[in-house]
Order: sequence, then C-alpha cells, then structure tokens
Amino acid sequence: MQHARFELQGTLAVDLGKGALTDPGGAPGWLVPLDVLRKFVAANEGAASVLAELVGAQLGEKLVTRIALETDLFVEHLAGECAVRGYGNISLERWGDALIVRVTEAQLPSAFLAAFFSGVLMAASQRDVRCVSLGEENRVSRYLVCAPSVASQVTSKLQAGESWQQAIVALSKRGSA
Amino acid sequence: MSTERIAALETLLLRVVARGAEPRNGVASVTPEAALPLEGRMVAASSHLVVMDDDVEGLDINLVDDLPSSTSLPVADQHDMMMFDDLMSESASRLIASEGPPAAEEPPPRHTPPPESGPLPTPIEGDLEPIEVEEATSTRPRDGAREVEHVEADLRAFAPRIELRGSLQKTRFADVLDASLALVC
Repeated sequence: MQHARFELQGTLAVDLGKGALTDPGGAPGWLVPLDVLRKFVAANEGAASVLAELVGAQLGEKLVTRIALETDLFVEHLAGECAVRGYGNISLERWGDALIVRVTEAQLPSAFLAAFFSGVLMAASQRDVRCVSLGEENRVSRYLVCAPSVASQVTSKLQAGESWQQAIVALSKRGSA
Repeated sequence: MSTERIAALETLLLRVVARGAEPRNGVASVTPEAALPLEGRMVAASSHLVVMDDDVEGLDINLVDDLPSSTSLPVADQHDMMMFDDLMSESASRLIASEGPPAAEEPPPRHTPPPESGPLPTPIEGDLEPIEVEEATSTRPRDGAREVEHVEADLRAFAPRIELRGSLQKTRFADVLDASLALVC
C-alpha cells in the first residue's frame, strides 16, 4: 500500500472578520500562550493531564489511518503533526523492544507531554497505552511507551532512584522473564 | 568475563549511549538492534555508538560504523570514556588473541577521533549493516494557504530526515508499538 509522506495540509488560519482561528486540521482553535499553559499545568496537575490527553487524542484520531504505516512514514507523520502544533522536534527511539518518544527542546512540562503522547497513541492505535516520562537530559526528554501496568512500575522505579536506562534494561518480553 | 564485568560494561554502555546518541535534525532515530542479549541480559546500544554481539566470551565486538563522530563522543564525560576505552581495549585484545593477528590488508579505522576529545575506543570493523539515510521531502505549506508566518518558518527548519537501520523502517509501526506494549517489568 502506497502512502504519501507527511505534507502540511492546512495551516493555522486566521479569519480576521470573524475573529476566529482554525488549526491545521481545520478545527476551530484557540491560541494559549505557553507561559500561561505552564502556569495552568503547575496549578492544576490533574486537570492538565486530562487536557493533555484530550488534546493528544484529537491528534491521535487523525493518525488512526496511519497506524498501519511503515515505521518511517508513521514517525514522519507523527512528528510533522506535532511540529505544526508546537510540541517540539519529535523522534522515536527503540531500545530493544521498548519504544521511546524523544522530544528535543520540549517547551512543555514532562507530565503534560506524557499525557499528551498517551492520548495520541491511544487514540491512534485503539490500544491502552501509557507514556512515562523518563526525564530530561541535555534538553532531550524521553517518554517510554508501555502498558499501564508497566507504566506504574517504571514510575515507581524512577522515583526510587533508578536511572531510566536501568528501568529500560529491566523490561523483558512477556513470558520470557 | 565476570558477571560484575558484564554489569559494569552494560551500565557503561547505557550511560555512554544515552549521552552520546546525537539528536538528528529529523524524525526518526530507530535502533532495531538497540538491545541485544548479553548472557541473558539486555544491553542497550545505539546506531550511533556501539553494538555488542551476544558472544561475550568470544568478545566478538562490533562497533557501529557511525562511531566516534566528533560530535557524539564528547557528550560522554572523560571518566566514562576512559572506562569505555579500557573495556574496549581489553575486549579487542582478547578478540585478537582468540582469532590471531589482524590481516595485513585490514583497512584502517574509518573514523579518526578528534584530538581534543580524549581517549576513545579503537574502532573494530564488524559485519554491520550500513546505516541507511534518506532525506524526506520537505514540508511546505500549500500555496494560497493563510498561514501564520512563524509556523512556516518552523516547518522550514523541520527538514525531516530519516535514519533507520535494517528492516525496521519497513516494519509496521503498529507492530513496533505492540512489541513495546508487550513488555513487562
């Protein structure tokens, strides 16, 4: 099956007459300054996660038809859609079987982005997906893509002081541990 | 190689790889052989740095052809690199001892470390697949679209570039995702 590479279709559009804004998907939008969003996230952690997951899910729905794409094309679409919306430079890493979303120069808090990517991948794949923040190093943040049960265990390990590399190494295929 | 040595090497590889993996100005940095079995354990590696075969006793160590780029190694600190150098030198010595001296026609290392980057591992040619790099099409707003200027500028800088190894690039993303979701602690 032949699929097109990512191409920006539609852009942020401003209708001055109506005082309205539409996002790249053509949906009505509303610009929120980053520093305002950061303050909101800091003051409303739970609500911010819900918001992030919903925003991610909306993007994920757009990617549903692309989930079966070959990896290189899917990543290109994911990164392109995220870039258009200001989520930074997105790439993927694979450590063994562990899939990691990598964000360079992230502008948003990691908890917000973890919930955002969870929403994106859940909606796109129709699977129960969680993304766990593995922390930030040299302006690169990473998010492990995993099952919910694994997410809580990895989070506990990180909170207990394990490095994210150790946590990744400890993962194994179901039934092979 | 002792269990402690393996553990030390494993930890070191993880640290070096984690810090040494250069972000590419692009979309994907996927490492299909990123974790290889090492005596029942997993060692993370990167297309940018090190791949270690599972035959530890034979010390069949391959270094990825992309290794010691002058931009990736200085990310690791001096102590890491000295330890790494020691380990790799020891491994290389054992490999040579087990296989005899290298053939005279063996090509020189493909990368010369920069003098300012401190001690670096000696590249050992391996039978690795070449890294395939392809330029993706640039993303440009369609003509006539009413775009906000800074969006267009950001996209010009986006310049997606794909760097993938082996067959993973043609693996369905859904399968890659499922493999990650199947992992347990």
